[in-house]
Amino acid sequence: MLSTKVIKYLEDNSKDINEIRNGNVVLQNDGKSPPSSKVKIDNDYILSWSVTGVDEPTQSEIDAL
Amino acid sequence: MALVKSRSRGINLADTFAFTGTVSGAGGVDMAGTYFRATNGSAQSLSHVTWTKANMTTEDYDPGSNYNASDSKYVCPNTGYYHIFYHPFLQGYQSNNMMAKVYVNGSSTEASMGKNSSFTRFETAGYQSYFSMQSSFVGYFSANDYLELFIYIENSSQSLSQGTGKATSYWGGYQLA
Repeated sequence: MLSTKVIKYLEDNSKDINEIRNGNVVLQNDGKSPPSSKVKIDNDYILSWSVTGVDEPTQSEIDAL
Repeated sequence: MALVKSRSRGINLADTFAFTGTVSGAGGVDMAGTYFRATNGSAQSLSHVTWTKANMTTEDYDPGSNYNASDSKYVCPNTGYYHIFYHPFLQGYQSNNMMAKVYVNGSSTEASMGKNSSFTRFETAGYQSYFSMQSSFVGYFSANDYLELFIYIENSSQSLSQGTGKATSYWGGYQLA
């Protein structure tokens, strides 16, 4: 599941799930294949990322978690 | 110059009016023709902390054919004010935050469409397993704007879903003016 990996990525970088709760990270599922440029697992994808001091993970970084 | 004194008088709705000319500019909105109501016909699995488009694929009413049931999307037929309501039923054993909001043209940000949406949040601290995220609002939309309902729930260890039922998980709306 994408959310589990994103939360682990945040925790590995001294952040936590509150980055998602407060909207700094938005995970979305439109019920169809995500846009090709997005980091994704199945239909879940990272819509937006704005975490101070932590870059958005790449697809390969998510896949490796 | 002769002065004519006139007496102001309001319209008495009990009066009979016999028009001999043509009344124009009195057209109204075919509210019934803009109405839609759709429900979730089968349980929809949801991912933890992920805003997911609500499956509302069972059409109850759509006389104007403005609702795309297969895509759970309403396309506004005219420019004007619309009354929109939603009532998705979220479930997941001892879940946390439950949320719902209407996206306009694919956008959910407060800055771009906050006055034309409604954001509902229920903070449960992990004690709630079922909740109906109901809300209604009036928004101003342009013709061909499209509306979608998105839902959210938190629980990394349980099965999460949107429930089913015509009176349980639904949304709808119609044009007011």
